[in-house]
Parts: sequence; C-alpha cells; structure tokens
Amino acid sequence: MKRMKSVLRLWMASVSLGGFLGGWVLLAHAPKPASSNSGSNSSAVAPMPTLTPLPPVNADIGGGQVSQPAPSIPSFQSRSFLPVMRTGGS
Amino acid sequence: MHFDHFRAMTTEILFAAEGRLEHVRLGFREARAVIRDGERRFTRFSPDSELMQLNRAAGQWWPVSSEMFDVLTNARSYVAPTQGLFNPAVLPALVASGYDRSIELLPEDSSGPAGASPPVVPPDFAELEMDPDGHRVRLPRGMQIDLGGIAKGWLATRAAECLAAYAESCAVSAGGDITVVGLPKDAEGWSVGVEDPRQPDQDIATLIVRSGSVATSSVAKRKWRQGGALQHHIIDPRTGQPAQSPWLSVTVVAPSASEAEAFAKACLIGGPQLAPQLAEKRPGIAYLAIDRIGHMQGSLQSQELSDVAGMEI
Repeated sequence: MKRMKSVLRLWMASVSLGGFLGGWVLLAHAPKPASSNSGSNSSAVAPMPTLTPLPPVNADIGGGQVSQPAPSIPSFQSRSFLPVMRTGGS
Repeated sequence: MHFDHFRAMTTEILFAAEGRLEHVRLGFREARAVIRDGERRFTRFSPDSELMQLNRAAGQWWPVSSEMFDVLTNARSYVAPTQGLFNPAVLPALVASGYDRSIELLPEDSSGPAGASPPVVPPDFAELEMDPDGHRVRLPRGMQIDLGGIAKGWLATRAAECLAAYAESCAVSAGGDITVVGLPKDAEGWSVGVEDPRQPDQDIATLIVRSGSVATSSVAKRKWRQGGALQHHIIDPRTGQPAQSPWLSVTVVAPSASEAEAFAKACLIGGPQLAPQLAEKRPGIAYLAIDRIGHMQGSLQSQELSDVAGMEI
C-alpha cells in the first residue's frame, strides 16, 4: 500500500512537471502578437468599428411594451413653451 | 419627464410623469391596467361589457362593480347642475342617428336617409335608482345609457391618481380628457394646448393648468353622414338629435375630468344662452368656447379658478 502511494506521488509529480515544461516550450516558440504601438506593424491593425450612439435611458419605459417617449411631444423641461398635452374632444 | 402612450377606447392615451424611472415605469403599468379594465367595462360596443349587461337589465335591480357605481353616481350628480343637458341616457338617440358601431367602423355614409328613424328623446337620467349598501342600481325600463365621455374622464382621473403614487408629478390624457397631479419641475403648471376645431392639427390657445382636470366637447369630432346629412355624437337631450350649437367646441377646467367632461358637453349644447349660468353656478368650473369663425369666449379669468386650476391664454 505504502509502495503504491509512493508510485502514485511520483507519477503525479512527473506529469505536472512534464505539462509545465511542455507549455513553457510551446509559449516560447509561439509567434509574438502584433503590437499596436509598433510603427512598422500599424498598417496591419484593423480599424476600430464605429458604434451607433446608445438610445436614451427613457426610451424603454413601460416594461418594454409600446411605451416610448412620444416623438411628436417635446420634453416639457427643455421646451416648456410648447404644450405637453392637447385637448380637443375625442 | 417620462412618457407612455398607447391607444384605447378608440382614442389616444398619454401618460407624462416626473420621478425615478424605475418607479414611474411601475406607475405606467398600473395606470395602463386601469385604462384597459375601464375600456372593457364601460364600452357599449361589446355585448359582454358590464355596461351592456346593465342596459339589458333595465327595469330590475342589478349588481354593479364599485367602478360602475362610482361613474353612475358621478353622472347622476351632474344632471341637475347642468339643467339636464348632460344625460347619459342618449344611447337610443345615438343609434337612431347612425352611431350604432365603433366610430372606426362607421361607413362614410350610413345606410338609410337622414331622419329615417324618429328622434328618441331620452328619459331623465336622474330617475336612475341606486342602492349604495347593496351596490345595485336600477335603470328605469326603456332607459339605455352610453357612458363613453364621462367614463373616459373618470378613467383619466383614476389613472392619474394611480400614477401619482409612483411619480413626483404626472398628467394623464385620455383622448383630451386630462387630469394633472403636482407641478412639473421648474414650470408654473402643465401646458395644455387647446385644439382649433377648424384645424385639428393646430392649437388655438394654451392653458397652464396647475391642478385639476380639463376636458373638451366638440361637434367636429366623431361625425358621420346619414343619408347625406352630417351627424355628430353630441346629442341634445331636449330633442334627441345631434345638438345645433353655434359653438364648435367647449373646453372646461374642473376639479375632476368626469366633471369637466359633463360640463363641457352641457355648455356646448346650451350654447351662449345657458353656458354662462351653468359655469357661474358651479364652483371650480370655467369654460372656453370656440365658434365657427374661431372667436373664443368663456369664463377663463374667473376667480373661482384660483383654488382649482390656473389658466391663461
């Protein structure tokens, strides 16, 4: 039993050491990543994508249903001289 | 300011509220539920609605919901102060004039010549009997009611009260029946545009409303032709026919939107002969009438407004 434990320990240590050394060698021989600061490689760097602006926070009010800021109705705070509500019978 | 809008009761519903978005969003949801529930309950275009069940039960005591009881209580209380010009028992007259289905489904010219059906003069709505303990009502036999206008106003006020629990200030419009609660930040009141009945895409005046409600009654809306004759939905209870008024629309400011709705209708039907005394005798009421050439008249500068709603043109 004691001999069995010693063999198992030795096997685990060998496998760990082998894995570590193998990984070291692989990384050492892997091609180096292109550096964005490198003037010689700058033409190879892909341009950053253009992102569209995020919608305002209040564009999703009402639990994601039909609700949204009424497009034809101005913000009361910014344009308080325009009517927020209208009345005319229905 | 956050907004929510949708369509219900064949009209546009608009909520506006200030406050934290996550709270306001909950308020919008609850206020929507109020409107949707009322739409099902008060429509005359669904045979299963509570209103139509009540109409079919005319002549007998009938149990009703607390919402229906409240609307009917309000409606009956407006009959005497409007000298009977507000009368929800005009449903047979509306149908006789051609308005027998949802306005969106009415043909351009309904079948039958104008006047094919004799006008139906409605009974006195004050004859409606109410039992507050049993939450029952009894329509007199033959009485058929349409709660379209007043229910819309009642729902606007109800939805605003509901939304106010989640917002710092808010306003609800149900097809132009508007109730406001609280003041918007950095503003002296809620800005309400009064539609020009001759050019509905333009406003003819702006009201600054600090509290209370606004409603407009107009003969320029919900109109159709019957046998070539132009008809509209404002029935004069004295004749049972579409009202012949020199005014195109009347806008009323009142403590609640149901009251504003009832008095707007009564003032429009009553015209210049009756509207001034109706408004004068009712505290908290003021009106603005617009005639066919765009002239405005009314009681907007009344001192009575200071406690209810401020306004300016």
